[in-house]
Amino acid sequence: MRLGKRRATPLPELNMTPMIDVVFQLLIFFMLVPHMTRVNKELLELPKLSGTEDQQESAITINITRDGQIIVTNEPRTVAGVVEMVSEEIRRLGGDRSRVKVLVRADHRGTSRMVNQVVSALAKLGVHQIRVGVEVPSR
Amino acid sequence: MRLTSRGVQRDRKIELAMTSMIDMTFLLLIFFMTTGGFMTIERDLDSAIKERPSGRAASSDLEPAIVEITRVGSGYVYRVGSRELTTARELTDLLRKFPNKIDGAYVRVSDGAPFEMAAAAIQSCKDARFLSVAYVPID
Repeated sequence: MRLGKRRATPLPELNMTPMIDVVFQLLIFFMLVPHMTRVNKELLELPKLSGTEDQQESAITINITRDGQIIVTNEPRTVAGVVEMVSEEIRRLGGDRSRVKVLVRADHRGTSRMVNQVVSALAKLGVHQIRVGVEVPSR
Repeated sequence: MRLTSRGVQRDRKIELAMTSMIDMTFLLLIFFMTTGGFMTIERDLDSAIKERPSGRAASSDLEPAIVEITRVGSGYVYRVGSRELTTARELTDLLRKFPNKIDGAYVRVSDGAPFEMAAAAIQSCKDARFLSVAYVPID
């Protein structure tokens, strides 16, 4: 017969609070980072169309604002500057112009003047395929 | 004979601190509510570039399919042959009637034309199932 009072063993407690805090912080971090890294896309109002294919990774994304300013990777450029960039890309691809992927994102409120200039300059370089960025209208 | 009381053990439950989790859940909720409106889905319209127009559309025959965005009065219209259309839907309906889709379509865009119309014309040609669509900048 045991006369000694048996001590109740304390149940182990897991403090979940810091873990949940850290997990959510990481979640927010990884959700925000992809948006931050899209530096090549300016905030433009693209034509609201359904498009023909899902957007792919492009080597050069040319943003054209409403007032006709060209912006590439957050920096304003001229048509000559774009030509230089595309020429560099062609050289990097060993002269194969068909592999050059150019995406033109132009504000739908602007005119086609700058788009025409860029397109003509690309054609002179031998780049004959472009993709035009559109925004899928919300339902 | 057990002298210890079992009731003491039974009452001890694991407690989870919910406060932090609720905090973070609401934070996430606010995040998704605020960013949800700004996130847009982008797609591409692929088109070929033609530096020079391949010719003018005949007034009677609609082949080859050449869509020109021209100024009429104070606004711009889509011109296909002798027909002038004001909406992209009308343009798509007309282009669907073209029998020859293999040779592709041409979209001739003047500098002053709204880019929205240029993009919509490319989309209409694609929707009308032309195999290729060429963007032709004109002065």
